[in-house]
Amino acid sequence: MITRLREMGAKNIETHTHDDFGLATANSLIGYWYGANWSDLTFLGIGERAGNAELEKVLLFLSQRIAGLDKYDLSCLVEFADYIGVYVPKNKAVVGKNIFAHESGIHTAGVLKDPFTYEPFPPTLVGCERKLMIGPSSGSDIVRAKVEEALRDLMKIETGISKGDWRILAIHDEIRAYAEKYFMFNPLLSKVTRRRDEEIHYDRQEGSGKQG
Amino acid sequence: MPGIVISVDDRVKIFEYLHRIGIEKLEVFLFNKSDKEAALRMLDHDCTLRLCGTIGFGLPFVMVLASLLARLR
Repeated sequence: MITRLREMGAKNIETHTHDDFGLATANSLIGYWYGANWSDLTFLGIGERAGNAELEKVLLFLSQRIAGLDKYDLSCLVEFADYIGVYVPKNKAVVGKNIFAHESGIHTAGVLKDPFTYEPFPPTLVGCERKLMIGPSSGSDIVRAKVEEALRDLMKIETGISKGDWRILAIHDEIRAYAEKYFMFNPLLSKVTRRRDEEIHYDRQEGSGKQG
Repeated sequence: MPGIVISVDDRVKIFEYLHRIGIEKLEVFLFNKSDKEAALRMLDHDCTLRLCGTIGFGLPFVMVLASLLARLR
């Protein structure tokens, strides 16, 4: 359509896309590609029905992928999303609180070596911050990094520790055992199925009875 | 939008965020009194962000416009 409009002599072309198929942002960008000058965007995609093309996604893409297009200040995007007050999923692109959170072993190790391994743009660009977390799937590299951080921040000791150090491995084992004991299986099951704990326990007793 | 009502103060604050980001043009509704009040407060800001409005027209206006267009043909 845009190509045809340009052939007809249209000078200013503006796209206005809605997200019914989840493709509003892609359609806005392809609009620019074929020669549209403007695109109607809304912050967080807030709009009628499934909403509009998301302002923050288009701006980030343009600033990161178009050479020289650095005139937009994106550092307030996360703060802006907080201000709006609508529920923002933690994994929502650009403004989600967890988009720079790393927990699994391979991810944390990669980010510790070079953040660009798993972060295509720095957190500060959009006003977010990186979170390196320890959980059941973490490796010893993040435990080492956290110990070094604690020594630095709490005791003012600057030191490097090997991730193979027996004390690091002991802490890692303890954390894994703790996670398995308190956080795995039961809470996850009840959250997913929305069943009460008593029902689950009842089912287990029934199950063990049958086996016996 | 369903489930969203925005006060005049919030609209102006949103305008300020968009200005800070560097957005060039902002479309605002001018349907009712609070829409117009918000737009006027935005215009008070000394900035380069251009405002354009969406205005609701009643059926009589549309019929007059259609009639004029028909005559031009």
